Amino acid sequence: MFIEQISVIQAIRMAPHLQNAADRLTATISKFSLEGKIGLCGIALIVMMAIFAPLLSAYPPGKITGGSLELPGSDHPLGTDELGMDIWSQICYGARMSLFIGLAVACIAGLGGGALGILAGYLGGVADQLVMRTVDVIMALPAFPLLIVISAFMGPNIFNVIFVLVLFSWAKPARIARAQTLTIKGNAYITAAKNYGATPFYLVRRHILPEVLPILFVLIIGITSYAIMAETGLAFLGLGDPTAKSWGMMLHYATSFRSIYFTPYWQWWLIPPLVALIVLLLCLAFVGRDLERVLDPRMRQNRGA
Amino acid sequence: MKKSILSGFTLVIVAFALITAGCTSQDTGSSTGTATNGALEADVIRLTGGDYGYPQPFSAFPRGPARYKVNMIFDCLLEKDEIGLIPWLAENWTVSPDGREYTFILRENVRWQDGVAFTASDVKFTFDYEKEHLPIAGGIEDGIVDRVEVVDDHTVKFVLIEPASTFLYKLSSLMIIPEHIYSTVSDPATFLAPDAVTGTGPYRLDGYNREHGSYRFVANDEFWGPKPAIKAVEFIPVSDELIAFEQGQIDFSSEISPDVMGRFADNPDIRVSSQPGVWAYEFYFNMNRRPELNDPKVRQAFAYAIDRNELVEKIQRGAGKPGNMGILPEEHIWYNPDQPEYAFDAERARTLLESAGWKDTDGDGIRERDGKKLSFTLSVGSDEVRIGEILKDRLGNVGIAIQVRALESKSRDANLKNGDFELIIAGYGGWGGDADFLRTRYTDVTSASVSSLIPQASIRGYRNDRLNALAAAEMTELDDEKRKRIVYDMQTILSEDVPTIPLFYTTRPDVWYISRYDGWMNMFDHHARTHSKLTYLERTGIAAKR
Amino acid sequence: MNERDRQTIIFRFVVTLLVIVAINFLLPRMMPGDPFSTMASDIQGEDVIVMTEAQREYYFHYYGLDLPLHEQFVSYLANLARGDLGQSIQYKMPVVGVILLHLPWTLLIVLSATAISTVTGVVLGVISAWNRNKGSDRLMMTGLIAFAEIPSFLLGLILLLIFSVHLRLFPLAGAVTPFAQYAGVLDLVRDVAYHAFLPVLTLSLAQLTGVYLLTRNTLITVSTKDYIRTARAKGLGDRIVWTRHALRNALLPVVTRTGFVVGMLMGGAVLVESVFNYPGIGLTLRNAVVARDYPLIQGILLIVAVSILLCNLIADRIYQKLDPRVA
Repeated sequence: MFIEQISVIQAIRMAPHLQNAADRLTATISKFSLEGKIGLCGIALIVMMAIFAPLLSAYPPGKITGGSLELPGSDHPLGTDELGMDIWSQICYGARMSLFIGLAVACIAGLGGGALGILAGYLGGVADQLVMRTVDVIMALPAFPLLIVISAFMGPNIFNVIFVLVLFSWAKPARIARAQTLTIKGNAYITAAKNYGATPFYLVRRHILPEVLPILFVLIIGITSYAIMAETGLAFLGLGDPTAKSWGMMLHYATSFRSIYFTPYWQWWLIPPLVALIVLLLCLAFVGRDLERVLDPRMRQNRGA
Repeated sequence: MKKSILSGFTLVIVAFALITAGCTSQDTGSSTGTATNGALEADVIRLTGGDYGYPQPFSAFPRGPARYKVNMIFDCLLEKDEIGLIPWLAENWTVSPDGREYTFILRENVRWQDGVAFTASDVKFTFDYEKEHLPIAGGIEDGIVDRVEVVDDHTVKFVLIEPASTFLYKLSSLMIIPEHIYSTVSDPATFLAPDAVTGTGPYRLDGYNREHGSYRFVANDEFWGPKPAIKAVEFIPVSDELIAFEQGQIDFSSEISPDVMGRFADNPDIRVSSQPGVWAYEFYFNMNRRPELNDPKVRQAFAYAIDRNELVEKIQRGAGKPGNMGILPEEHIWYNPDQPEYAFDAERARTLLESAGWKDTDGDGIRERDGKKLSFTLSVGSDEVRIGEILKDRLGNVGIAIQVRALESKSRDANLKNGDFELIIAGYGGWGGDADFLRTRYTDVTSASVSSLIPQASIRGYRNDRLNALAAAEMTELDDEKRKRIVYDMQTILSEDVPTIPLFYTTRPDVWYISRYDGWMNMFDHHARTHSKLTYLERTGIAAKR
Repeated sequence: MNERDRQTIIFRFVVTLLVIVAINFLLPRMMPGDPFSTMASDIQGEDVIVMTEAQREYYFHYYGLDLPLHEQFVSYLANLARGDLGQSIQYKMPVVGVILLHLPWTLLIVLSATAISTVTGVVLGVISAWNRNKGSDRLMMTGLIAFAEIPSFLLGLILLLIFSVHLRLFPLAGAVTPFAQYAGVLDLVRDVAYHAFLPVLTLSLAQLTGVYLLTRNTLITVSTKDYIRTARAKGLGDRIVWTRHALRNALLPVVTRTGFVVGMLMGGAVLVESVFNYPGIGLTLRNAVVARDYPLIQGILLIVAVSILLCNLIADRIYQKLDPRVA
C-alpha cells in the first residue's frame, strides 16, 4: 500500500508540465477511498448549488416572498423564516457565502502562508528568523479568545471575519512549507542545478513548488473546514456578519429565535443549515484525509516525531 | 460495509430529528389565562437572575434590572404607582409660588436597616455626596438644584435654580443613602462591604453571588411602610426561561416567546398579561448628512412605506404595537389620540415622493432627483438586522434603496451619539416616562442653567420653531393640566413633521403562577412588573390601589 | 533537548507574553465605542441608563482613560509588574478577583474533559490499532471522524436538547444549584458534578477523536519501526511488545497534545460555556467584550495566554521525562 502511494508521489513529481495536471488529478482521485469519493461528490454538489443558486431557487434570498414561518410546501420547498423569506433560497445562496468564507480564508492563509514559508526556507537568514518567530508567536496566541476580541473590535463585517480567520491560520502552512523547502534545498540535485546556473525562480517553480503544493493543498482543505467552523462559532456568539447570509448566520437566527425548540419551526428552519453544515464539513474531512493519505504519506509519519 | 457507515450516519441524523421532535409542541398563538385573583402573599418568589453588580447605588451596573434591585433596598422621597407619583419617604411637600422652593416633610420613625434613625440630613447628604460621586442612575443633573437645606430633623428644602416641571419626577428616582455609613467612604464604586447595602427600604440583601448572578432579598421586618408581601425574593440563573418556568423553577417570566403562549392556555393557574408598550425601536434620519431628508414629504413617505404592523407580526411575533408618529405610546398617561395615523400605504408613499420631485427616470427601481439617487445606508445593531432586512425590502418597493450596515451595538451607540450615520435604528426604554423627553429629544431647548443636559438621541438637523416654543413653555409649566395640553400640541406637530419614526413599542407577555403570587403591578412609566417596588408590598396605606 | 531548543522556548515564551501584553493594551482601546457611551439597549426590553456628559467625564477620569495613551501604558505595565490587573469597570472589583471567581469553573470542565477524552481516546486508539484495517477499526474511525466534524457547540446543543430538555436528566444552566444548602462536602461535589456533566461530556466528545487518531496512527507507525521488529524477533509476546515498546512511544505525542489541548480549551470552551450558560472564563470574556470592560478583557486574555504557555511548557517537561531518547 505504501509502495503504491510513493509511486503516485513519484508520478506526480515526474509529471513535468501543467498539462498533465488532469492526469495527476485522475490518478489522485482513483486512489481515494469510498468516503473520499463520496466526499468529493458532496463538495461538487454543494459547489454546483452555490454556482447555480439563482437557477435552483425561485426567489432572491433577501426578498419577503411569503408569510412568516410558512410550512414547507409547493411555494417554498423548505418553508420560510420568520420574515417570510424562502429558506431553500437561503440555503442555496448560503452555500456561496459559507464556501466563500471557507475558501477565501484557506486560499489566502494557505497560499500566502505557503509562499512566506518557501521564501523563509529559501532565503534563510533574517527573513527566515522573522517569519519563524512570527509563526511561533501566532501559534502560541490564544486563538479563539482573540478571535472574539478582534472581531468585536473590527465590527461584524464579512471581510473582517475573513481577515481575522486568516490571521490565525497562515502560520501552520508557513511552517510546513518552510520545513519542506529546507529539506529540498539540501538535496544534491538542487545544488547541481544551481551550479548549472538555475535561477531561484526556476528552482522554486521546478523543484520546490511541485513538492510543497500538494501538502499545501491538503492544508487548504483543512483550513477551509476550520474557517467554516470558526465562522459558525462566531455567528453563534453573535459576532458574525449578520447581513451575510452564511449557513452559520442562518443557524444563529434560528437558534436565537426565542423558544424555537418548543415550536415546530426548527424542523424547517434550523435543520437545513445544520445538516448542510455537517454534510459539508464531513465531506471536506473525508476528502482532506484521503488527499493527505494519497499525496503525502510522510506528513502523517512526521506528525508523531 | 462502507455503505453501512454512511447509512449509519444518516440514521443518526434522522434519529436526532425524531428525538427532538418528541419535545416539540405544536401549539402556537397566544391566549390569556382566565383566573380569579391568586395569592397576594408568598414565602419565596424566584425570578430570573443575572449579574447586575452589587446592589448599591454606585456599584450596580448601569442597567434597569440593576437599578430596580437597588430600589428594593433603598427608598426615594417619592415612589411610583400605576397612575403617578405617590409620597414615600416624604409624607408631603409644598412648593413656593415661584416654583423654586420645594419643602418636604419627611416621615417620622423611619430607620435605616441597621437601626439608626433616618433624618433630613441624610437627604441633604445624599444630594451633596452624589455631586462628587455619581450614582449609576437616579442622580439629579447639575444645573437644576441650587442647594438643599435641612430645616429640621424631618423637614428638608430643595432650592431650584429655576422652576422645573420634572423635578418631582426626577426625585422619584433619587435613592437616599445613609450619611452615617457613606460619609466616610471616599470611593463608593468599590465599596462592597455588607453595610454598603443598608437602606430604609422594604428588603434587605441576604445573599449575592456574582459568578452565578444570583441575589436573595429578604423582607425587612422593621420596614416603616406597607408590609412586604413576599418574605424572600430570589433571583436565580436560568438558561431557558420557558423550561425554567414550566418546571416551576421561576414563578414569573417576561422572556417567553409569544409563539409558545398556547402551552399555557389550559392552565388556569397561569396568568398571561402583556407589558405596557413603553419600550420601543426608533428609526432616525440624519438630515445634516443627507439634506434631502429635510423634506417632511420624504420623511412622511418613509412612514407610509414602512409596514409597522408587519414589524410587529414578524419581529415581535405579535407582541407589540405599531409606532405613533406623535412619539408617545398609547399607554403614556399623556398620549394624544388625535393625530395622523400613517397606516401602511405604499401607493401614498410613492405619490409623496413623486410630488417631492423624486422619480425613477432611468428605470433601475431607485428614484432620483437632479442626478442624485434616493439611496441610503441604514446602520443597525447586530440584533436589529432583521428589522433592517424588512425595511430594506419595503422601502425598496417604493423606490428607496437601502444598504443595511450591521454594527456591534456599542459601535452603533457611538455612531448614534456622534451623528455618524444616514439612517439608524436603536431600541430603548423609558417611553412611558415624563413627557419632558419630547423636549430633550426633539428640540434643542435647554434652559441657560441646564447646560449639561444632552439630548438622549440625536435628531440631526431637525428644528421646528413652534415645537421649540411649546417645549420652552412645557419645561417650566407647573400646572399639570396646562402642561398636558402643551404636550398634546407637541405630539400633533411631531406627527406632522415625522422627525423620527418610532417603529414599534414592545408589549411582551408576562406570565406568572397566580397561586404562587399575584401581586404583580406596573409603575405608570415602566414596562417591567418585576421592577416595581409596590409589586413586592401589600397594597395598603400609602401603597393602596388608587 | 539541547541548549538551543531551550533558548528557543524561553524566547518564544517571552516574546509571546510581550505581544499579548501589547495587544491587550491596544486592542480594547482601539475598539469603537466606550464603556460609558451606551445610548440604546442591546437586549430588547432592558432599560439602559444613558449617562450625561458629566457622568461620562467623571468615569473616564475615574478609570484613568482620559490620560494620554503612553501614560496609560506605563501605568498598566507598572501595575502589571505588581500583579495588579486593575479594576473591572463592569464588576467594580479587582480583575484578579473576577478571574478567580470564574477560572475554577473553566478549569474544572476543561481538565475533566481532557482527562476523560485522553484516557478514552488512548484506549480506543489502542483497540483500533490492534485491529488495524479490520471492520471494527474502520467503523470506529469513520464514526469518530464524523463526530469530530460537528462543531462542539452544536454537539452541546444537541446534548442539551436530548438530556436536559427532553429527558430532563440534567440541569439547563449554571454550575451549582442556586442557594442550595449542602449536607456535606459529598453533597456539594455531587451537585457540581451534576451541573458539569453535560459541558464535560460535550468537550470530551469533541476532543476524543484527536487523541484517538493520534494514538492509533502513532501506534501503527511505531509498530513498523525497527526496534519493534527487533523486539518481536527476540520472541517477546505481542502484548509485551505493545505495552512496553509501542505504547510508550505512542503516548509521547499524546502527552504533548494534551498540553496543547488544555491550553486551547481554556479559551476555546467559550462556545460550550455559552450553550450551557456555564459561568466560566470564556463566557466572562464574551460579556466583557460586549460591555467594553477593558481591564477585564486584558486580564482574561493575559491569564489565558499564560495558561497556554504554561501548559505547553509542562507538556514539554513531561515529554522529556518520558522520552527515552531525551532522558
